[in-house]
Amino acid sequence: MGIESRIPPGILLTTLEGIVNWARKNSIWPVTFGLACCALEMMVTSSSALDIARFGAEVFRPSPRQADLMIVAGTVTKKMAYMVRRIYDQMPEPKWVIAYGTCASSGGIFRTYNVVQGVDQIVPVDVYVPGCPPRPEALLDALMKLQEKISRERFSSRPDYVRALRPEEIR
Amino acid sequence: MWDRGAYEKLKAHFPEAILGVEESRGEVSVRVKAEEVLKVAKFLREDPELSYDMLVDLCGVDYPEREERFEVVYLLHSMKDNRRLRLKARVREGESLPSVQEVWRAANWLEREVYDMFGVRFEGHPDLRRILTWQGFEGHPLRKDYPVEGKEEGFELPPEPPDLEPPEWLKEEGDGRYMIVNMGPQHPSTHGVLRVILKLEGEQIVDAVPVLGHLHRGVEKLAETMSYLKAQTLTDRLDYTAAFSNNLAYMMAVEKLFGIEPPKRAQYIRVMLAEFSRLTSHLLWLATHALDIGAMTVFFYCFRERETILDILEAISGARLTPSFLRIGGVAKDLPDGIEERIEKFLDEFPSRIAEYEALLSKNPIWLKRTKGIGVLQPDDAINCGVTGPVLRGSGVRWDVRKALPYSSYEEFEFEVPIGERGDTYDRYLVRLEEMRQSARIIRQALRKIKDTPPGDIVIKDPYLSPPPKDQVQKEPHALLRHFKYFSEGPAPLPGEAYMSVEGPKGELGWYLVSDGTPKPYRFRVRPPCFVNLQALPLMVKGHLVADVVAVIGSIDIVLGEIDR
Repeated sequence: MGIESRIPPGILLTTLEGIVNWARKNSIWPVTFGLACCALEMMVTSSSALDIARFGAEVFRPSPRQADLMIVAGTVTKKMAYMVRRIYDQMPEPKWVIAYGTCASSGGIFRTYNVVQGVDQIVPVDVYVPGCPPRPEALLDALMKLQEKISRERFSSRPDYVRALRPEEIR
Repeated sequence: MWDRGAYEKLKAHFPEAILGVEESRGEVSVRVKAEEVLKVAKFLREDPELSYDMLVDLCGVDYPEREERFEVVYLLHSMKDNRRLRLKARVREGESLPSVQEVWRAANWLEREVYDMFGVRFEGHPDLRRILTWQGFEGHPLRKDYPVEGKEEGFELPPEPPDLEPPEWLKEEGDGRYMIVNMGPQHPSTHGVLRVILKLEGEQIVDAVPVLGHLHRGVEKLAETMSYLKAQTLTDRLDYTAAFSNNLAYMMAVEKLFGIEPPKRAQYIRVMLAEFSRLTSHLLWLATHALDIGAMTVFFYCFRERETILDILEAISGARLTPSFLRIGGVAKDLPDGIEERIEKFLDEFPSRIAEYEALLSKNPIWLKRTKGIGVLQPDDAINCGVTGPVLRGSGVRWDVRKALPYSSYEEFEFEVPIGERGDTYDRYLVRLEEMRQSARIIRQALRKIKDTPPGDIVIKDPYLSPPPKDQVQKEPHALLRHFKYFSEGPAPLPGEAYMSVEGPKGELGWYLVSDGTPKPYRFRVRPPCFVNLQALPLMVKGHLVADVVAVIGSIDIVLGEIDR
């Protein structure tokens, strides 16, 4: 999906990686997706007091197909788990996940029959944020951590990286 | 006010069916033979003197050691003179009760919940499916022999989403005239994880079936493993938009079990915090409701004020959303220095802020088109569906728990209860705006009253019910021991039951607690206003367009944490 699937091997990628990562980290579009209490604090980050637009992440998209970031804000129940995975699958690469709050990270205080003990059982998580609920500032911090992570990313380490075949490999 | 006369009258009419009367903590419960529940229910509603026109709550309690294992508890309310009565019916495992769904429509979902959680079947129920878990779920979680963590180890993704198929009765008839469309649970306008199955004819809604339980966290089950004080943390996370109201309702039920009353200063602080949480809830409602309909600016305006309030609440309690600030017989801390000025400043500004919202919306032609005449709920239907709160008042019924059954010294406060005329989305909008003004008024009075009470008198002085002061704990061994015992085990009330409710931002929010004499609640039942209110959704959206569902859901003001629990 991303540029990494079209790059031929052998050319010096560092500069291109730098540019692409710079663009990616400054335009992370989250999917509008709230599960429980933490979603309220997520909304606060987009209000004027904290203004998530300073990080280029204010474009909350209701459709996962237009989003890069899934902020799992709230408790993932067993009834909802399928849908959470479906939303993640519908997002195009490159995509990242923030587990916002204790419930999303580990199930939190809800160790019960209908709660998935951590969203990382369903989708890969990039940044975990502790708190019940975490303050909205913590989400901005998580976003900055994610930006750091993106800026260090190599094309070859991305899951959608498709290495083009070398001439001698082609028969 | 609990009805002590009803038993005599019922006994005279149904000598066979009425088994007895119990009183616990001043609350009257009449025991009814399970097979006769429907007959008694009809009489209770239709008799002009009794006229129990609203079913407030219906829940189950499991007593595995009894032969008649399950007790189904009905809480009734008479709008005429604010009387309350509880009915109880016992059934064995595998036996069923007649459904009272035809008498009070509110019973529909509540009976489904009892079926889901306890496995008690209801004869004559038109749609007895699981509601909070899913079809195919094994076991009944609230039975005492069901483990809190569930029966299966770990978790694997199911091959297809739970409850994918719409119910059979929705699919019948039509020859392609109707179309079934799924809305949610991932939808920006369902305020969380609500899913609604819509049956459409073109763009028009023929029927709407909400599917719940996507945020069912098992709070009622989990609370049975916690002490009375610790279970308060769970109440924060039910209606997380207004955690103080939840804390208040729960703590009052606990205090009723213990038979105590907090000092006046604590009561006023509680009133003030509850009204602040009404403001935060209503502001959030207005922000998201307007956003759903397409008015983006209101969102930013409302969140500006909401942040100011949250800052004040944080200064008082130390937390923004989930304070757990109340203690048995009082509050955790006195007000910090200088908070009065901050609150006064906010109260001075706030009316002009509401005027700003009104300037944006009240005469805005788009807003009027989207809300006027949309989602009309008739007052009779509303009462029959058990609807409470701003939705009921929007339909023109002047009923408010704060006035009808005052608690926490609300009778000393002056405020109006606004009502609507037509019962449409616009009226509910106006009612909530006026409620915000009235809340600000109550906060001002509460602040004055708090000033008149002695500082520091915020919790009852009872060595059993409250922990020893911190400075003692650090110096004296017996205080340390008591501190340890208090927080590891907690105080235990005498056996019995208690129900207390408050006027939450969404409606009557109540707790029904059953104690068996141990430090943990035997049954922790939440009377969820949103759950009951949402039942009126199909009534309100029938005949409207798909886009109106968004407006109507917004105007019911639901929060899924409380619906699914």
